[in-house]
Amino acid sequence: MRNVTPCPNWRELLSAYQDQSLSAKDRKRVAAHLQTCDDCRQALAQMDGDRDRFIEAYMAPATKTDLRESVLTALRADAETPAQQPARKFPWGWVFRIGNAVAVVTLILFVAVVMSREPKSAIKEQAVQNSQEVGAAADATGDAATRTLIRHANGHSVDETYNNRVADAYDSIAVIRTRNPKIPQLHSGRIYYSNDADAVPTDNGPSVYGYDVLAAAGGAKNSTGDRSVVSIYDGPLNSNAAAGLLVRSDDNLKLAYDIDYHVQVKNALQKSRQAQGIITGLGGFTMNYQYVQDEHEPAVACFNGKIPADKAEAALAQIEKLGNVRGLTIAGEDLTEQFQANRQEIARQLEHAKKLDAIGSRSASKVAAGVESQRNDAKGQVDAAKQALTGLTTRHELVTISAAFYEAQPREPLTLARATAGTRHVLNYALLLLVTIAVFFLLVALVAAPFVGLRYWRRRRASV
Amino acid sequence: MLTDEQIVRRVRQGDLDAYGELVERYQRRLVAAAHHLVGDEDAARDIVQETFIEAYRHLEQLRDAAKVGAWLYGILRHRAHSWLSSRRPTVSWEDESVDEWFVAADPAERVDMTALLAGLPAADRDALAARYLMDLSYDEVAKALGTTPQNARVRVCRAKERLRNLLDRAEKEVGL
Repeated sequence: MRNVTPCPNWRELLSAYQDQSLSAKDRKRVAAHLQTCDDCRQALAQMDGDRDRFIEAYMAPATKTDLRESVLTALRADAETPAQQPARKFPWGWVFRIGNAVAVVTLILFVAVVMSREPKSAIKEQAVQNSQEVGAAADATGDAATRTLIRHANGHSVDETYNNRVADAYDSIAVIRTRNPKIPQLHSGRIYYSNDADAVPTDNGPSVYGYDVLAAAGGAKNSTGDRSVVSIYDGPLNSNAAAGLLVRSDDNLKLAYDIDYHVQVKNALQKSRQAQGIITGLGGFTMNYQYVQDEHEPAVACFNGKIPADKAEAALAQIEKLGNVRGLTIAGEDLTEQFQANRQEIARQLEHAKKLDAIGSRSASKVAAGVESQRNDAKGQVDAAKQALTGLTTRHELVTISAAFYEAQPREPLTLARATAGTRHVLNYALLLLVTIAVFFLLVALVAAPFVGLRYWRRRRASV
Repeated sequence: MLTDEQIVRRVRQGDLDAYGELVERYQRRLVAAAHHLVGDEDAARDIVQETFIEAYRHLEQLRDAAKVGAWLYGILRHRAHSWLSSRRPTVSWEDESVDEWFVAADPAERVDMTALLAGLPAADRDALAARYLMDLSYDEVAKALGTTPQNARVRVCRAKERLRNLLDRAEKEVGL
């Protein structure tokens, strides 16, 4: 039979007509057309024939199919066996997605952090220049010890650690003791270090660290009498640093201690009051309290106090816990000679008073008015000397504490510079966190991969 | 005689024998369709059996129980394609000699339809199996093939046209 072509645009309608999928209206239209068109009628007949042959070709072999029992048997067996999880694919896609996201964010943060940092070389150059200036000044003074220490400090990198700075302070003491071998043993060996001794942090650029080494004991006589001051340049930070040594006292040594504290706190008012409470709680007293909070300046609270010498160490330990101790200077004034001189003067006056008393007792009636007057004067002098000795003793027994509590930053509105600095800190921590997460993921993947792969392979083999 | 919806409802209530009824009702159409799709009668039976088992396991996913035939055909089609992709045919129909199609004495029956129709494009086989063997409406064909009813109508029409051309060529070859 030749292949009959239906009228143009009628093939799809004929197909739908054959499939009985036309609307009633279209069905009538096609039926009417078939009445008049031989080609379309033959095409439809061909279509019917093709359909029958097609169905026959596949349905004939399929009639002998009987899958009912085999399907039901399989389903019954399936119901009796415990449910088995189908082999699932390991979600490598998610691992890669998360890994990529972490990598991208880490890269962005890394670039941001690197770009926000100042070039290190510039800082170092400034540090070297400053140290040379300090060295030149020291050469001018001719102080050999200072020159030695400056040379020592120049060899350090700009980002010295706390330990290195403390070691510098010990080195300073060693140099002083070389020059003054009579310096007694250290009382406690404590080095008080800070990187902000005298001022709140500023942006004025690098300055000089100072290690004030106090050699207040007898025999530590040098250019400044009972006090040896050595300054060491030690880096580019915007502040001074101080290290104080407490020297040992013995029975013959009479020292009056002066303790000067600089403590950086978050709330100066609150912490300074706590410090006063510590001192009064240990049997001391405070005075000259001041609290200043100017606009654009950090709040500062300071006071003076006196505390029994045997409680001084305890007070120091407690005040240190209130904040970040930026500076601590312990000055010991040697009162030994004054003490001895006063003692001798009192003894002399007492001897003189005794003589006058003896004269008076021999002939009280013959005592002239002038002698009586001299006797009274002598008694007055004795009393004064006693008072002076008492004053010295009191001064020795009471340690003077001057404490200043200040806040790190003035309470100013947020500026772009401060916001940038804060953001940099956040970025640093975020970068650290992300790197940690990335390493964690990597380690977990490395450890888990063989086990997961083996399990997946077993399941797959079981399912096959 | 139970309707498809009634059978599905019973199966969902745990009546496995009712599922046997469903198997009975659709197995031949599905085997014929699978045979047409993969060109291998034995494989077609295996595929249909797997289709019924999979359908039973996922019966809760069947939303319209009245269209269970179309749903079964969708699963079957997916399995047939998986089978085809996992196993390359060892015989290329296009390379076969036309003489091998003719074994009967009557020229009209000498055309081995199954071998001949395997030369149809996969899309046409899908459409013809859905329409002629599964007897699905255009709506159901569209759902099984993942397209619109209008597009299904066009695809069925074109498949019929290619079927006609294929038969015409074969008939001319044998001098019908």
